Amino acid sequence: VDLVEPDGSVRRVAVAPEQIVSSVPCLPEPTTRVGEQDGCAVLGVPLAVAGRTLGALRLTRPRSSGFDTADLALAEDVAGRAALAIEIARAYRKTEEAIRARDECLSVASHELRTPLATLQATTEALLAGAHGGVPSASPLAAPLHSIARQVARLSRLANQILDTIALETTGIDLARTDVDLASVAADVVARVNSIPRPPGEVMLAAPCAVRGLWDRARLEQVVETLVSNALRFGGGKPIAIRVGRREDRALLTVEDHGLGIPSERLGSLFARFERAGAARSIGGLGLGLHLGRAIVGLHGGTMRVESVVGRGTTFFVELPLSPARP
Amino acid sequence: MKRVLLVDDDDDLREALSDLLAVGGYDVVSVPGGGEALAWLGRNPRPDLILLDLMMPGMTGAELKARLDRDPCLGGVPVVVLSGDTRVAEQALAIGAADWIAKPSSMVALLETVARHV
Repeated sequence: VDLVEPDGSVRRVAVAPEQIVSSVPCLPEPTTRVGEQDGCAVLGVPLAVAGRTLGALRLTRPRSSGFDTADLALAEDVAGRAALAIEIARAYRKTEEAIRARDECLSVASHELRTPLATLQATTEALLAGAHGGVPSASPLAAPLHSIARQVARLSRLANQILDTIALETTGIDLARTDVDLASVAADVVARVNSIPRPPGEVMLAAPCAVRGLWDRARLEQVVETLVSNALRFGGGKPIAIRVGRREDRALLTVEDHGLGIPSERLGSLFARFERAGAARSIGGLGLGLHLGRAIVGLHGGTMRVESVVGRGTTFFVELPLSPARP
Repeated sequence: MKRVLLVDDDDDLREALSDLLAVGGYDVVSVPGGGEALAWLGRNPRPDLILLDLMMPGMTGAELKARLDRDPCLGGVPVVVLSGDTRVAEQALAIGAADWIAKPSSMVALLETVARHV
Protein backbone atom coordinates (compact mmCIF):
# COMPACT_ATOMS: atom_id res chain seq x y z
CA VAL A 1 0.00 0.00 0.00
CA ASP A 2 1.47 3.36 -1.01
CA LEU A 3 0.46 6.72 0.39
CA VAL A 4 0.62 9.34 -2.36
CA GLU A 5 1.44 12.82 -1.07
CA PRO A 6 -0.07 15.95 -2.69
CA ASP A 7 3.27 16.70 -4.39
CA GLY A 8 3.13 13.34 -6.13
CA SER A 9 5.76 11.64 -3.98
CA VAL A 10 4.90 8.16 -2.80
CA ARG A 11 5.44 6.78 0.69
CA ARG A 12 5.13 3.03 1.05
CA VAL A 13 3.19 2.22 4.21
CA ALA A 14 2.68 -1.54 3.72
CA VAL A 15 4.04 -4.24 1.47
CA ALA A 16 2.22 -7.38 0.37
CA PRO A 17 3.96 -10.74 0.90
CA GLU A 18 4.65 -10.99 -2.81
CA GLN A 19 6.61 -8.04 -4.19
CA ILE A 20 3.90 -6.79 -6.51
CA VAL A 21 3.78 -3.11 -5.76
CA SER A 22 5.13 -0.69 -8.30
CA SER A 23 6.88 2.42 -7.00
CA VAL A 24 6.02 4.54 -10.01
CA PRO A 25 4.76 7.89 -8.60
CA CYS A 26 1.34 9.15 -9.49
CA LEU A 27 -0.56 12.33 -8.63
CA PRO A 28 -3.26 12.34 -5.97
CA GLU A 29 -6.50 11.07 -7.35
CA PRO A 30 -9.34 13.56 -7.12
CA THR A 31 -11.76 10.67 -7.47
CA THR A 32 -11.59 6.95 -6.96
CA ARG A 33 -10.09 5.28 -9.98
CA VAL A 34 -9.46 1.69 -10.96
CA GLY A 35 -6.91 0.91 -13.61
CA GLU A 36 -3.86 -1.07 -14.59
CA GLN A 37 -0.17 -0.33 -14.30
CA ASP A 38 2.89 -2.51 -14.98
CA GLY A 39 0.72 -5.57 -15.28
CA CYS A 40 -1.09 -4.98 -11.95
CA ALA A 41 -4.60 -3.88 -11.06
CA VAL A 42 -4.38 -0.48 -9.33
CA LEU A 43 -7.03 1.13 -7.17
CA GLY A 44 -6.53 4.85 -6.37
CA VAL A 45 -8.66 6.44 -3.65
CA PRO A 46 -8.40 10.13 -2.63
CA LEU A 47 -7.48 10.97 0.96
CA ALA A 48 -9.97 13.80 1.36
CA VAL A 49 -11.23 15.65 4.40
CA ALA A 50 -13.50 18.71 4.54
CA GLY A 51 -13.37 19.09 0.76
CA ARG A 52 -9.54 19.08 0.64
CA THR A 53 -7.48 16.32 -0.91
CA LEU A 54 -4.49 15.51 1.29
CA GLY A 55 -3.12 12.74 -0.91
CA ALA A 56 -4.21 9.41 -2.27
CA LEU A 57 -4.23 5.81 -1.19
CA ARG A 58 -3.14 3.43 -3.90
CA LEU A 59 -3.69 -0.30 -3.68
CA THR A 60 -2.03 -2.70 -6.08
CA ARG A 61 -2.87 -6.34 -6.76
CA PRO A 62 -2.00 -8.94 -9.38
CA ARG A 63 -4.16 -8.32 -12.43
CA SER A 64 -5.68 -11.80 -12.10
CA SER A 65 -7.26 -10.87 -8.71
CA GLY A 66 -8.51 -7.38 -9.62
CA PHE A 67 -10.77 -5.25 -7.39
CA ASP A 68 -14.51 -5.72 -6.86
CA THR A 69 -17.12 -3.32 -5.42
CA ALA A 70 -16.55 -4.61 -1.88
CA ASP A 71 -12.84 -3.80 -2.20
CA LEU A 72 -13.77 -0.37 -3.49
CA ALA A 73 -16.08 0.35 -0.53
CA LEU A 74 -13.47 -0.90 1.95
CA ALA A 75 -10.72 1.20 0.32
CA GLU A 76 -12.90 4.34 0.42
CA ASP A 77 -13.75 3.72 4.07
CA VAL A 78 -10.08 3.20 4.99
CA ALA A 79 -9.07 6.27 2.97
CA GLY A 80 -11.69 8.42 4.73
CA ARG A 81 -10.47 7.33 8.16
CA ALA A 82 -6.81 7.72 7.17
CA ALA A 83 -7.46 11.25 5.87
CA LEU A 84 -9.13 12.21 9.14
CA ALA A 85 -6.26 10.72 11.16
CA ILE A 86 -3.70 12.63 9.07
CA GLU A 87 -5.64 15.88 9.52
CA ILE A 88 -5.87 15.38 13.30
CA ALA A 89 -2.17 14.48 13.55
CA ARG A 90 -1.19 17.61 11.59
CA ALA A 91 -3.43 19.83 13.75
CA TYR A 92 -1.98 18.21 16.89
CA ARG A 93 1.58 18.81 15.69
CA LYS A 94 0.79 22.45 14.91
CA THR A 95 -0.74 22.92 18.37
CA GLU A 96 2.27 21.33 20.05
CA GLU A 97 4.63 23.57 18.09
CA ALA A 98 2.58 26.65 19.04
CA ILE A 99 2.62 25.68 22.73
CA ARG A 100 6.38 25.07 22.61
CA ALA A 101 6.95 28.45 20.95
CA ARG A 102 4.75 30.18 23.54
CA ASP A 103 6.50 28.51 26.49
CA GLU A 104 9.94 29.28 25.08
CA CYS A 105 9.03 32.92 24.51
CA LEU A 106 7.63 33.27 28.04
CA SER A 107 10.58 31.44 29.54
CA VAL A 108 13.20 33.62 27.81
CA ALA A 109 11.27 36.79 28.64
CA SER A 110 10.87 35.85 32.32
CA HIS A 111 14.46 34.67 32.63
CA GLU A 112 15.84 37.85 31.09
CA LEU A 113 13.70 39.90 33.47
CA ARG A 114 15.31 38.37 36.53
CA THR A 115 18.69 40.07 36.60
CA PRO A 116 17.33 43.62 36.16
CA LEU A 117 14.61 42.82 38.69
CA ALA A 118 17.20 41.50 41.13
CA THR A 119 19.20 44.72 40.69
CA LEU A 120 16.14 46.93 41.18
CA GLN A 121 15.04 45.00 44.25
CA ALA A 122 18.50 44.97 45.84
CA THR A 123 19.10 48.68 45.12
CA THR A 124 15.73 49.75 46.54
CA GLU A 125 16.05 47.57 49.62
CA ALA A 126 19.62 48.73 50.21
CA LEU A 127 18.53 52.37 50.09
CA LEU A 128 15.62 51.71 52.45
CA ALA A 129 17.94 49.80 54.77
CA GLY A 130 20.41 52.66 55.05
CA ALA A 131 22.93 52.27 52.23
CA HIS A 132 24.51 55.53 50.97
CA GLY A 133 23.29 57.35 54.07
CA GLY A 134 19.83 55.84 53.76
CA VAL A 135 16.44 57.45 53.29
CA PRO A 136 14.91 58.56 56.61
CA SER A 137 11.30 57.47 57.08
CA ALA A 138 10.30 61.16 57.31
CA SER A 139 11.84 61.87 53.90
CA PRO A 140 9.42 62.56 51.04
CA LEU A 141 11.39 59.90 49.13
CA ALA A 142 10.54 57.13 51.60
CA ALA A 143 6.97 56.52 50.38
CA PRO A 144 7.87 56.35 46.65
CA LEU A 145 10.80 54.06 47.47
CA HIS A 146 8.51 51.71 49.40
CA SER A 147 6.15 51.82 46.44
CA ILE A 148 8.99 50.88 44.05
CA ALA A 149 10.01 48.05 46.40
CA ARG A 150 6.45 46.67 46.48
CA GLN A 151 6.05 46.81 42.70
CA VAL A 152 9.46 45.23 42.06
CA ALA A 153 8.56 42.42 44.47
CA ARG A 154 5.29 41.99 42.61
CA LEU A 155 7.02 41.85 39.23
CA SER A 156 9.50 39.30 40.57
CA ARG A 157 6.65 37.16 41.88
CA LEU A 158 4.86 37.26 38.53
CA ALA A 159 8.03 36.35 36.58
CA ASN A 160 8.72 33.47 38.97
CA GLN A 161 5.14 32.20 38.71
CA ILE A 162 5.29 32.18 34.89
CA LEU A 163 8.59 30.29 34.93
CA ASP A 164 7.34 27.81 37.53
CA THR A 165 4.16 27.16 35.57
CA ILE A 166 6.15 26.45 32.41
CA ALA A 167 8.56 24.23 34.35
CA LEU A 168 5.67 22.33 35.91
CA GLU A 169 4.34 21.41 32.47
CA THR A 170 7.66 20.78 30.74
CA THR A 171 10.78 19.88 32.70
CA GLY A 172 9.05 19.50 36.06
CA ILE A 173 9.99 21.17 39.35
CA ASP A 174 12.73 19.49 41.37
CA LEU A 175 12.50 19.60 45.14
CA ALA A 176 15.64 20.28 47.20
CA ARG A 177 14.65 18.42 50.37
CA THR A 178 16.42 19.20 53.61
CA ASP A 179 15.46 18.97 57.28
CA VAL A 180 12.93 21.81 57.63
CA ASP A 181 10.78 23.10 60.49
CA LEU A 182 7.37 24.09 59.10
CA ALA A 183 6.73 26.29 62.16
CA SER A 184 9.85 28.30 61.39
CA VAL A 185 8.84 28.57 57.71
CA ALA A 186 5.49 30.03 58.78
CA ALA A 187 7.18 32.32 61.34
CA ASP A 188 9.57 33.67 58.68
CA VAL A 189 6.70 34.38 56.30
CA VAL A 190 4.68 36.12 59.03
CA ALA A 191 7.72 38.21 60.06
CA ARG A 192 8.26 39.21 56.43
CA VAL A 193 4.60 40.08 55.91
CA ASN A 194 4.51 42.12 59.11
CA SER A 195 7.71 43.99 58.19
CA ILE A 196 6.16 45.47 55.05
CA PRO A 197 3.79 48.44 55.31
CA ARG A 198 0.41 47.19 54.08
CA PRO A 199 -3.34 47.54 54.59
CA PRO A 200 -4.69 46.38 57.98
CA GLY A 201 -5.23 42.71 58.76
CA GLU A 202 -3.40 41.25 61.73
CA VAL A 203 -1.56 38.02 60.94
CA MET A 204 -1.40 35.67 63.94
CA LEU A 205 0.66 32.52 64.08
CA ALA A 206 -0.09 29.60 66.40
CA ALA A 207 2.78 27.14 66.15
CA PRO A 208 3.36 25.75 69.64
CA CYS A 209 6.18 23.42 68.67
CA ALA A 210 8.56 22.58 65.84
CA VAL A 211 7.19 20.32 63.10
CA ARG A 212 10.13 18.89 61.22
CA GLY A 213 10.11 17.07 57.92
CA LEU A 214 12.14 16.50 54.77
CA TRP A 215 10.87 19.30 52.57
CA ASP A 216 12.03 22.01 50.17
CA ARG A 217 12.12 25.06 52.41
CA ALA A 218 12.02 27.70 49.65
CA ARG A 219 9.08 25.97 47.97
CA LEU A 220 7.15 25.71 51.24
CA GLU A 221 7.79 29.40 51.89
CA GLN A 222 6.31 30.06 48.45
CA VAL A 223 3.17 28.07 49.37
CA VAL A 224 2.70 29.78 52.74
CA GLU A 225 3.38 33.21 51.21
CA THR A 226 0.72 32.59 48.57
CA LEU A 227 -1.87 31.56 51.15
CA VAL A 228 -1.08 34.46 53.49
CA SER A 229 -0.99 36.96 50.64
CA ASN A 230 -4.37 35.73 49.39
CA ALA A 231 -5.79 35.89 52.91
CA LEU A 232 -4.62 39.50 53.19
CA ARG A 233 -6.14 40.42 49.83
CA PHE A 234 -9.49 38.79 50.45
CA GLY A 235 -9.59 38.96 54.26
CA GLY A 236 -11.45 42.27 54.48
CA GLY A 237 -8.90 43.69 56.96
CA LYS A 238 -9.91 41.16 59.63
CA PRO A 239 -7.42 39.00 61.56
CA ILE A 240 -5.78 36.09 59.76
CA ALA A 241 -4.87 32.95 61.69
CA ILE A 242 -2.08 30.58 60.70
CA ARG A 243 -1.77 27.30 62.59
CA VAL A 244 0.98 24.72 62.35
CA GLY A 245 0.66 21.32 63.99
CA ARG A 246 1.20 17.63 63.53
CA ARG A 247 -1.04 14.59 63.36
CA GLU A 248 0.81 11.27 63.45
CA ASP A 249 3.23 11.29 60.50
CA ARG A 250 1.74 14.33 58.79
CA ALA A 251 2.28 18.05 59.26
CA LEU A 252 -0.77 20.30 59.14
CA LEU A 253 -0.90 23.97 58.22
CA THR A 254 -4.05 26.06 58.01
CA VAL A 255 -4.51 29.65 56.92
CA GLU A 256 -7.85 31.13 57.91
CA ASP A 257 -9.34 34.50 57.03
CA HIS A 258 -12.69 36.03 57.95
CA GLY A 259 -13.24 37.94 54.75
CA LEU A 260 -15.36 37.78 51.64
CA GLY A 261 -15.47 33.99 51.25
CA ILE A 262 -15.65 32.16 47.92
CA PRO A 263 -18.95 31.09 46.31
CA SER A 264 -19.31 27.31 46.35
CA GLU A 265 -19.59 27.11 42.54
CA ARG A 266 -16.06 28.56 42.24
CA LEU A 267 -14.38 26.30 44.77
CA GLY A 268 -14.06 23.42 42.31
CA SER A 269 -11.91 25.40 39.89
CA LEU A 270 -10.02 27.47 42.47
CA PHE A 271 -6.74 25.60 41.92
CA ALA A 272 -6.92 25.74 38.12
CA ARG A 273 -4.43 27.86 36.17
CA PHE A 274 -5.34 31.53 35.72
CA GLU A 275 -8.20 31.17 38.22
CA ARG A 276 -8.74 34.14 40.47
CA ALA A 277 -10.81 34.02 43.63
CA GLY A 278 -12.00 37.60 43.31
CA ALA A 279 -13.96 39.25 40.52
CA ALA A 280 -11.67 38.66 37.55
CA ARG A 281 -10.58 42.20 36.72
CA SER A 282 -10.94 43.87 40.10
CA ILE A 283 -8.25 41.74 41.75
CA GLY A 284 -4.78 41.63 40.23
CA GLY A 285 -2.44 38.67 39.78
CA LEU A 286 -2.06 35.97 37.18
CA GLY A 287 -4.15 33.42 39.04
CA LEU A 288 -1.20 31.03 39.24
CA GLY A 289 -0.38 31.14 42.96
CA LEU A 290 -2.85 28.51 44.19
CA HIS A 291 -2.29 26.35 41.10
CA LEU A 292 1.45 26.29 41.82
CA GLY A 293 0.89 26.01 45.58
CA ARG A 294 -1.18 22.89 45.28
CA ALA A 295 1.26 21.42 42.73
CA ILE A 296 4.21 22.03 45.09
CA VAL A 297 2.35 20.43 48.00
CA GLY A 298 1.48 17.54 45.68
CA LEU A 299 5.16 17.11 44.73
CA HIS A 300 5.86 16.68 48.45
CA GLY A 301 3.21 13.95 48.57
CA GLY A 302 0.77 16.20 50.44
CA THR A 303 -2.65 17.71 49.83
CA MET A 304 -4.14 21.20 49.78
CA ARG A 305 -7.87 21.82 50.10
CA VAL A 306 -10.16 24.72 50.87
CA GLU A 307 -13.35 25.39 52.82
CA SER A 308 -15.22 28.65 52.45
CA VAL A 309 -18.49 30.32 53.41
CA VAL A 310 -19.48 33.51 51.61
CA GLY A 311 -19.44 36.42 54.04
CA ARG A 312 -17.69 34.41 56.76
CA GLY A 313 -14.30 33.60 55.33
CA THR A 314 -12.02 30.96 53.87
CA THR A 315 -9.67 28.36 55.31
CA PHE A 316 -6.95 26.55 53.38
CA PHE A 317 -5.72 23.21 54.76
CA VAL A 318 -2.28 21.86 53.83
CA GLU A 319 -1.17 18.38 54.86
CA LEU A 320 2.38 17.16 54.29
CA PRO A 321 3.96 13.78 54.98
CA LEU A 322 7.00 14.25 57.23
CA SER A 323 9.18 12.22 54.88
CA PRO A 324 8.88 11.25 51.24
CA ALA A 325 7.08 8.00 50.45
CA ARG A 326 9.41 5.10 49.61
CA PRO A 327 9.44 4.33 45.90
CA MET B 1 33.70 41.62 60.50
CA LYS B 2 33.02 38.67 58.19
CA ARG B 3 34.26 39.07 54.65
CA VAL B 4 32.23 38.07 51.60
CA LEU B 5 33.66 37.78 48.09
CA LEU B 6 30.94 38.54 45.55
CA VAL B 7 31.52 37.32 41.99
CA ASP B 8 29.01 38.57 39.39
CA ASP B 9 29.49 40.00 35.91
CA ASP B 10 26.54 42.43 36.14
CA ASP B 11 27.98 45.75 37.38
CA ASP B 12 24.71 47.19 38.68
CA LEU B 13 23.68 44.01 40.48
CA ARG B 14 27.16 43.66 41.98
CA GLU B 15 26.98 47.19 43.35
CA ALA B 16 23.43 46.72 44.70
CA LEU B 17 24.25 43.40 46.38
CA SER B 18 27.44 44.90 47.84
CA ASP B 19 25.35 47.68 49.36
CA LEU B 20 22.88 45.18 50.81
CA LEU B 21 25.60 43.01 52.31
CA ALA B 22 27.37 46.07 53.71
CA VAL B 23 24.11 47.18 55.35
CA GLY B 24 23.87 43.65 56.77
CA GLY B 25 27.25 44.13 58.45
CA TYR B 26 29.60 42.35 56.05
CA ASP B 27 32.89 43.45 54.58
CA VAL B 28 32.29 42.96 50.86
CA VAL B 29 34.79 42.59 48.05
CA SER B 30 33.24 42.30 44.61
CA VAL B 31 34.79 41.19 41.32
CA PRO B 32 33.25 40.83 37.84
CA GLY B 33 34.48 37.34 36.92
CA GLY B 34 36.15 34.07 37.79
CA GLY B 35 39.63 35.17 36.69
CA GLU B 36 39.48 38.29 38.85
CA ALA B 37 38.19 36.20 41.75
CA LEU B 38 41.16 33.81 41.53
CA ALA B 39 43.56 36.75 41.26
CA TRP B 40 42.08 38.38 44.36
CA LEU B 41 42.05 35.11 46.28
CA GLY B 42 45.72 34.59 45.44
CA ARG B 43 46.69 37.91 47.02
CA ASN B 44 44.42 38.05 50.07
CA PRO B 45 43.41 36.02 53.12
CA ARG B 46 40.57 33.60 52.37
CA PRO B 47 37.08 35.13 52.70
CA ASP B 48 34.40 33.70 55.00
CA LEU B 49 32.03 33.09 52.08
CA ILE B 50 31.92 33.38 48.30
CA LEU B 51 28.70 34.53 46.66
CA LEU B 52 28.95 33.24 43.12
CA ASP B 53 26.97 33.98 39.96
CA LEU B 54 26.75 30.91 37.73
CA MET B 55 26.27 32.42 34.28
CA MET B 56 29.28 34.57 33.51
CA PRO B 57 31.24 35.06 30.30
CA GLY B 58 34.70 33.49 30.31
CA MET B 59 35.08 31.36 33.39
CA THR B 60 31.63 30.24 34.54
CA GLY B 61 30.63 29.94 38.17
CA ALA B 62 30.82 26.14 37.95
CA GLU B 63 34.37 26.32 36.55
CA LEU B 64 35.48 28.68 39.30
CA LYS B 65 33.96 26.38 41.94
CA ALA B 66 35.86 23.42 40.45
CA ARG B 67 39.12 25.42 40.60
CA LEU B 68 38.44 26.33 44.25
CA ASP B 69 37.74 22.69 45.12
CA ARG B 70 41.17 21.70 43.75
CA ASP B 71 42.92 24.31 45.92
CA PRO B 72 43.69 22.94 49.41
CA CYS B 73 43.54 26.43 50.93
CA LEU B 74 40.28 27.53 49.33
CA GLY B 75 38.30 24.29 49.00
CA GLY B 76 36.70 24.75 52.42
CA VAL B 77 35.32 28.25 51.79
CA PRO B 78 31.51 28.01 51.63
CA VAL B 79 30.17 28.96 48.21
CA VAL B 80 26.60 30.23 47.82
CA VAL B 81 25.33 30.20 44.27
CA LEU B 82 23.44 33.13 42.83
CA SER B 83 21.34 32.45 39.74
CA GLY B 84 18.28 33.56 37.79
CA ASP B 85 17.73 30.05 36.48
CA THR B 86 14.66 28.12 37.62
CA ARG B 87 16.89 25.16 38.38
CA VAL B 88 19.22 27.08 40.70
CA ALA B 89 18.86 24.52 43.50
CA GLU B 90 19.74 21.63 41.20
CA GLN B 91 22.71 23.54 39.75
CA ALA B 92 23.98 24.43 43.22
CA LEU B 93 23.78 20.82 44.39
CA ALA B 94 25.49 19.63 41.21
CA ILE B 95 28.61 21.72 41.84
CA GLY B 96 28.66 21.08 45.58
CA ALA B 97 27.73 24.60 46.69
CA ALA B 98 26.72 25.14 50.30
CA ASP B 99 23.50 26.93 49.36
CA TRP B 100 21.81 29.03 46.71
CA ILE B 101 19.97 32.30 46.30
CA ALA B 102 17.53 32.83 43.45
CA LYS B 103 17.62 36.08 41.50
CA PRO B 104 15.73 38.12 42.46
CA SER B 105 15.57 37.57 46.21
CA SER B 106 14.62 39.84 49.06
CA MET B 107 17.24 41.38 51.32
CA VAL B 108 15.94 39.24 54.20
CA ALA B 109 16.37 36.02 52.20
CA LEU B 110 19.85 37.09 51.04
CA LEU B 111 21.11 37.97 54.51
CA GLU B 112 19.50 34.89 56.11
CA THR B 113 21.19 32.59 53.61
CA VAL B 114 24.60 34.26 53.94
CA ALA B 115 24.32 34.23 57.75
CA ARG B 116 23.72 30.47 57.75
CA HIS B 117 27.15 29.80 56.24
CA VAL B 118 29.63 32.36 57.57
